[in-house]
Amino acid sequence: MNNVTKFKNVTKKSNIRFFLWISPWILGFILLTLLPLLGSLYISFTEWKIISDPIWVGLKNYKDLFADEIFLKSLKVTFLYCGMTVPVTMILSLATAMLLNGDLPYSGLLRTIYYLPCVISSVAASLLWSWVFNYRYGLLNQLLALIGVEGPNWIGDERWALISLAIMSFWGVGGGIVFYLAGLQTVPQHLHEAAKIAGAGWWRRLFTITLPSMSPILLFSLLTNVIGGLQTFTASFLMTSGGPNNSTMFYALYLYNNAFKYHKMGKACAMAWILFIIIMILSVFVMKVSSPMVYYENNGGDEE
Amino acid sequence: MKKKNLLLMLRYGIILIVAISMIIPFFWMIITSFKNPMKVFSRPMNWWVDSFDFKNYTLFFTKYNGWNYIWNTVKLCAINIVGVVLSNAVVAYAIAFMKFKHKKIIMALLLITMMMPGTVTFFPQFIIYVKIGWYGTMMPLWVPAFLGNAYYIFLLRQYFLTIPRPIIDAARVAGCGHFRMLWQIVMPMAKPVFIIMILGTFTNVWSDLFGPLIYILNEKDRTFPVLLSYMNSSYGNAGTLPSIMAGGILSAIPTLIVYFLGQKAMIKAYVFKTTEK
Repeated sequence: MNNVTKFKNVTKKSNIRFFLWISPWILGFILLTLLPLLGSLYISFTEWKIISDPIWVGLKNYKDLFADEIFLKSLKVTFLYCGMTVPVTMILSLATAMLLNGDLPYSGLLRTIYYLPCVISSVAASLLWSWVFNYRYGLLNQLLALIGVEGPNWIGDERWALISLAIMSFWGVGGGIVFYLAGLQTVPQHLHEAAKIAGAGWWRRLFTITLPSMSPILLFSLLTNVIGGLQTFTASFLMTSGGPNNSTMFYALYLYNNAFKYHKMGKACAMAWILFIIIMILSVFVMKVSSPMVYYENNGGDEE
Repeated sequence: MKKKNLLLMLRYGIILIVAISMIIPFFWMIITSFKNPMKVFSRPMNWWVDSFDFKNYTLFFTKYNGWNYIWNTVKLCAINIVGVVLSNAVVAYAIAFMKFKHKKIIMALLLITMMMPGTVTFFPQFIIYVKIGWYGTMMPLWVPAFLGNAYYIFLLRQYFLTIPRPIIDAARVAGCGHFRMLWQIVMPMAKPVFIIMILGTFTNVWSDLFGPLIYILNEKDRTFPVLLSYMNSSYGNAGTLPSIMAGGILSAIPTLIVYFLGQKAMIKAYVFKTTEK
């Protein structure tokens, strides 16, 4: 009996100590995640202009949003952008990582060159690309003129603006290469050797050995790319302000405008929650669909 | 053998073409930073400078008061790094080594926070900061660093768990307390992850535009990226472009150094992360 209470006290004491040690994160979780999330859910059901008290309006903000043409367009623009950039970015970074992998001479220098665009601050990069896309003096159109093609007015043209920003995003593809290079190191070489002896060609080995063993990395990178893509903001904020004719009005930019430009707190919070739900659904979907295709080496080992 | 050489050449060819197209805008940036502001735009393009002239760089420091903003950013980076290292080390240590019945719940909450998109919480956080009177102070830009980061906690915990158990047990038996254990045994053994955290935090804070843009009201407290964006919007014409490009290059140098320093640690820590599940 005595021992049991003693034991209980020890557990209680160690529990308190455990919570003390993780208290920074608990505080952060409550203040920076939980409270903002719940608070914004409440605000999304109100009309609030900061100065006065929030007024409960029920689902009005959500109804308004789905009747708001700019909101619908921002959804379309954002998904279109993701659809354009995510697959291309992933294939490009994987392909470059594979090209750079191994004992290629000067591979260190080349890797650095590929990484260079990522060290430029977003402001400088946006200005740089505003020039690249300049109708008259820009690099792209001057190069196109050399082969006798008249280039479009890239970011000034409704039909080309979103494509321009996608092209710009490929410039930063090198950021993912380090990650994929690390992933390539985990591909078991003995499998490659065995498959080579068995006469499997390069493509076959790619699809049966390299990609499956990298699948956890590919899944992680797919998720982060999609989540990142849905939150695209900087380029449109600095270069196009969403225009022309809202053709680059990204979701995050419209949210920002509602919050800091039009001071529609309720609407902005509703937008944050819709984005949250979209991202959650997408993440669960990607995980569910991919789970039979993702191969974890160690887990497989346990079952054998 | 011949086929192999051909393949190598093809491989090199592709790599080089992409590398060159990536480097051209960068090259233009450097060239522009040395150009006479009057001669930035021309048709056809001038691929070189008439004379190398550091005037745009000196202008960046004199007219735009560059040092002040660089120093602000360095200070902010330093305090963020201290916060990130301390808070995450402590939390990850507890989760990895201390006894607690419901660790699974903690891990689940960590994963949820990791998935939480910044865009979703940014604006509600702003409202909270306004409510508690932190708007207009520097607090929102460094206090969160002391409150743990789910991603780093996760990374650290995974790494801590690979430390051979006998080492930990032996130290415990010898009467080593938790703080000493963390400071003298666990932290030195997890060096690569700490290097990644430090370099990652530096890069994030150094290049963050929106936090400082929204929370800093005092013109003197602005950071480097905010200065660059104001140089563009308030003086925005071709004349300031060379100075902005000079500033852009200066701001890229520390990030580049960080990349060189961090490359090895990055591959070490991530290879571990993906193999040791």
